Amino acid sequence: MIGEEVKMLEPLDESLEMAGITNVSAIQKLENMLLVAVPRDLTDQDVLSLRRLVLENVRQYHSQWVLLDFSRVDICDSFFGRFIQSTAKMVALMGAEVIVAGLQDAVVETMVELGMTLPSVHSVLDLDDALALSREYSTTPPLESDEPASNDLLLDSNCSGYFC
Amino acid sequence: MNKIEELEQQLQIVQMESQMQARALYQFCRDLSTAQSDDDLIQVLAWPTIETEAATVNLIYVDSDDAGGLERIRVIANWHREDEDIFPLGSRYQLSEIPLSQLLLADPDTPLLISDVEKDDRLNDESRAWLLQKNVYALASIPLTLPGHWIGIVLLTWCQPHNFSEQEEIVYNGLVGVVTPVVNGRRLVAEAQKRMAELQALNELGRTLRGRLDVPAILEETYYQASRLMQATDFYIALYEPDTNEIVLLIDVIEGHVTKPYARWKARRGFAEYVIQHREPVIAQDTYARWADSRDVNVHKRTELNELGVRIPRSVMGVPLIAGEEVLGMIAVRDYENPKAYTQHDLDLLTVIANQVAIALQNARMFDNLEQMVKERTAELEREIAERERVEAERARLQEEIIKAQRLAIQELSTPVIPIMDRIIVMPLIGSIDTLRARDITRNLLAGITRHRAKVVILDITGVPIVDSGVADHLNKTIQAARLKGARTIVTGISDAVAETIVDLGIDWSNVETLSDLQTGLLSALSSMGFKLGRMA
Repeated sequence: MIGEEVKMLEPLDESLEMAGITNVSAIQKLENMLLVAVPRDLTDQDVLSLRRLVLENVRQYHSQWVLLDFSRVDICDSFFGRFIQSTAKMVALMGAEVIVAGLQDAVVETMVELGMTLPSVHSVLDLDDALALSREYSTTPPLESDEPASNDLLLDSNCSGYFC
Repeated sequence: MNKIEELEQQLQIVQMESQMQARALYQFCRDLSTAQSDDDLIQVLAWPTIETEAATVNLIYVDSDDAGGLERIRVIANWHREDEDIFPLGSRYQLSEIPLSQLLLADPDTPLLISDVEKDDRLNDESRAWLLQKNVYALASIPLTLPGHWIGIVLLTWCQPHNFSEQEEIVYNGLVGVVTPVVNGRRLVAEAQKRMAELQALNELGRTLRGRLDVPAILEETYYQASRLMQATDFYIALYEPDTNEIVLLIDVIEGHVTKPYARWKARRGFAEYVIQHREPVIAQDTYARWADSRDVNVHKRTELNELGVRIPRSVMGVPLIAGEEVLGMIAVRDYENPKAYTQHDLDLLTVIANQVAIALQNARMFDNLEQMVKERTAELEREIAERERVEAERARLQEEIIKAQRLAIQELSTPVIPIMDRIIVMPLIGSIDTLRARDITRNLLAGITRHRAKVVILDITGVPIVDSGVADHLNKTIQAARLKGARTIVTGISDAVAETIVDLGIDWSNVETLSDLQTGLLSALSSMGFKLGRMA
């Protein structure tokens, strides 16, 4: 089901092409989700281009979820951190939600030290969790059944810290 | 009248003759005083005697011994007709060897004239035989003396009986007064020059020895300088080793050939031993006579040795090498021909040399010892240092290992990650939390989350004694990091006291999920992951 829907996107920007982002198929659409595999070693300019590309795709496909996969990124600076944060905010403004996945330990440490804790962003361990999370949200109709689904605890009050 | 003229004529002739004689004498005196060398001198002396057909003309010095008595004569210069070299240049005679000496040196003022050796009754048989053997049939001995002091003799010899004319006698008598000052002057100058040379040689020896620190070089230099100062064609230096009571022959010069035998033998009763033992310079003159008397080496023995090819010196002079209190050895020169080859002056010279050599040898020895000591000490120190370094390195390595092991143990002990269920891990924290430890906790937790794919982390702080704002801050960061990895953190073990402190300090933990103990935390975690706990029916 997942594999059927994967569709390659055409490069939208020459600068991206030059940055080599297209070569690694940075952005893929998956159902209502935009899958963004963030390449390593991005320049600041690349980062901005990537953000615009993401936003354009969100607009084009009316994506509900934007999944930023950072598993390939092993170095993080403040600019990069701001990129994640600002992208999340912008995507939220466009009515979609951002899931960050696959942050490496070193990157996490740096981000915490820099104070970028991404309070308004879902952050999960890997792509599996990310997909599971998005599915949970979309398959759980609010106030539909008396018996909570197996994963309902995620939404109750105890889970308040989960996404903050 | 005729007789008077005759007389006048004779007078004139006599006058002319005496004028000529005076002129000749004047010329002679001038030549004599301007003579450059002994050879020149003898040529001048020979001139008036040529008419007399003398066979040889010899200039002979008479040397005194140390006590002031007359000791020997030596031929300084000579002139001779062909094949008539009776007294060769440079030959020396002890006065005791010459039967004639009594007669020669009897009258210091008037010449001794012997017109016929065979018939002269002043000569005893021995003298006559000695002269005839030398083919001397007549002689004239002109004494060169200053008051109370013999300088030398001008000796003229003939190979056949010679009648001395009145004229000749006058000439010879005249020579006494004329030649003496010239020869004396020459002799004094020669003496002074010799002393100068000696002084210079000694000086040089001192200077060269001062810079030498190895024994062979010192000894060789010593021989070289000694040979400049005296007849030293047979020369040796022997050192004495008191520890083993041995004599070591370090340099032995035989007829001018330097050898370094390095022979050693036990000290016995030899000459070297005698000098070393008595610590004083010794001249052994005329050793044949003494040895003939001595019980150790009798005549028979001597002949035997001679037949064996062992040469026995006729004169030996030895000086001990004394430095401070110690006798280092001795230095000796030998003469195989002359029974009285050495004078007190030679001994003095050798003593001076010996003193310098002794000091140089001692310096060399001290330098050697010092060098040896320094070497040994250096080696010892190096060994010690190496050993110490090795031990130190060993210790450091051990310490490092221990520290490493301890650090690892502490790290693992202090921040253990315990998986308890699928995707649930517990991290109990024990002990105070500082910045360094907080970082370790975060790292370990992140690694644990990745490893166990944890979705829920229970941080149990029951074992943390004090929770202040610092600790709270550290824990906040850890929780945020865990969240970025997609894990939810439950902090458990908040005791009442800790709760109080947190609120009192104004720490805002409202957004941190906290529970009182591990049990409730565990339940919360389990249920959040969809596990249900129940008793078996």
